[in-house]
Amino acid sequence: MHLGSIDITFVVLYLLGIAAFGMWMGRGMHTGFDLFLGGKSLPWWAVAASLVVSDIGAKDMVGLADDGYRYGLVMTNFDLIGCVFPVLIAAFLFMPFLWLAGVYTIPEYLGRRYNQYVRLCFAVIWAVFMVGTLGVIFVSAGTMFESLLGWNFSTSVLMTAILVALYTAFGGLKAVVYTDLVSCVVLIIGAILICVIGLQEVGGWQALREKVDAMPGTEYHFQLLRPADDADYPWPAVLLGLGFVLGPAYWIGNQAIVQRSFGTKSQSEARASYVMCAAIKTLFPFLLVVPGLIGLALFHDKIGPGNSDSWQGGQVLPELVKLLPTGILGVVLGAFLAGIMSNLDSYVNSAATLCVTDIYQALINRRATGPQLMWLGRALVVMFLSLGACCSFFVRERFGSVFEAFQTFLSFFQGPLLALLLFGMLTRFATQWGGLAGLLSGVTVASYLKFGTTDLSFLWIAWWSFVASVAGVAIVSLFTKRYNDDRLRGLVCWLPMRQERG
Amino acid sequence: MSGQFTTLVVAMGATSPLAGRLAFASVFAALIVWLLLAPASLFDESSTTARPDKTPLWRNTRTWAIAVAAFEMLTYLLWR
Repeated sequence: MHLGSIDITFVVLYLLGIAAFGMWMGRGMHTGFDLFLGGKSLPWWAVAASLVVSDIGAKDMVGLADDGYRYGLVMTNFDLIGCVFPVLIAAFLFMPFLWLAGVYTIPEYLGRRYNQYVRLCFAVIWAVFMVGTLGVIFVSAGTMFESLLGWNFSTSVLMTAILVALYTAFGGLKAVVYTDLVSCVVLIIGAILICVIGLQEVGGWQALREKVDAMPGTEYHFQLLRPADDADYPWPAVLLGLGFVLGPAYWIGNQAIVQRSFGTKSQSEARASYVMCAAIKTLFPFLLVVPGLIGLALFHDKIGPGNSDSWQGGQVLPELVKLLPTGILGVVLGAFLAGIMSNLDSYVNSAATLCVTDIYQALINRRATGPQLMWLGRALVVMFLSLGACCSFFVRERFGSVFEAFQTFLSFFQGPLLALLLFGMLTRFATQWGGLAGLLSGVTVASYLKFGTTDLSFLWIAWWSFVASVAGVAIVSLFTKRYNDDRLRGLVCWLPMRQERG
Repeated sequence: MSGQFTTLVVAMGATSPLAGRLAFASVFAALIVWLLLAPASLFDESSTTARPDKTPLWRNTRTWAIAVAAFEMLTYLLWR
């Protein structure tokens, strides 16, 4: 693809500008508290934008365009029922509560509510998951750069890793949130431009519907919901697996997401950030899925049918981007970079926080000083980016659809995580051993369903692992001793901290 | 196991997208009801402002949450 000088100028300025801005935001950083929680000084509106782009990044731009091409508007449910619904509940019930608990990480909360085994298990699981996720994001970056700029995969991954390491290691969560704010604006502009120019190319919305409807196997492409016996996305599985398990687990329990709301100034600002995030997310799914439909109408002959064995993921968005005129292309490429960087910085910062808080500080050195934790966090940022870059080569070989790979990672332990959080926050009934049993039973069932059965949707895997986890917590809690109320104060919603007198 | 569950759902006559639309819209309707009826103490609104009764609606996070949920509910009900 030929980039005009104005496009290249925009992209280079964007890359350098965002790195410099991030490093500038990180000045005056002295402790792990500053690096990991931004000194609890982050405004709600910046956190809201950061929440949006931490969720919708490069993987979604590429992956959702692909899946929009293959499955149509049913993919919008990942935001409509999988995000907006749990985010609104989390905004009022969970986030203010977790903010008051004063935790750095979700495993830290689980450790205080259950025991250190549960904390360690989830810290390790999250760290492994985040390395895998970083690999997925790097694959998105490599695919896009290869197609657009002709760079090879290794060069693309290396360039991206260095840039993100620069400002995330120095600026911490504060740099992450403020650069995400810029990224959010660029991302929205870029997504709108792709939709508008793509629709013009097709001949408008009505022409798009007519062209897609005329193709074989597209009878549900413009439906939000597919029938209950659909092989890929049956609506009961979408509702139960995505709406009631994966979505809530992601928005309440994903460290990379919730960490930024822990950095707000107050619990009411944590709530406001989540509500604003939900408001922004009502529009995003259409901006990300409709390009897939446009790609189907325009490039069906070139890319081929999405349900065939010859399907190659990652091609829809790059083909669409080639339609854009010089000047606009730079903005859209900037949007893609914004998505990559915001995803990467969020996950890498959270992975470092987890390792420092839940492993190093909890198990190795309880008396570590603030500056020690900060420098260790910075070193871990570099290490996690390196691991993620290495992992991307494996992810690239193994998975066809980037987005599906991300969901497969999630489905293994999101059910157990949600079960433990719900039992932990909403009841006094769950015991420490019940929590451990719930974790093990959920992960066991998820593993069995994934590897012991064939062609089972990850949505069903998430649902049944959640059910198994609930059963595990409930049954074992019946026969084991629970903590007293004083031990649970501040950890269960109905048992607030005692107010100090005087 | 999930196959049996799907069969059960199908047997209950919930195969049509209309049934799905109603189910999804109901989830948001229930959320709106909860947001409307939950006591202010649960949301700790008294701590966000000195005079909560004087806070304009447009600055109230609960109002915005209800508006977003209503938008989603209508999307599922009306999308064709």
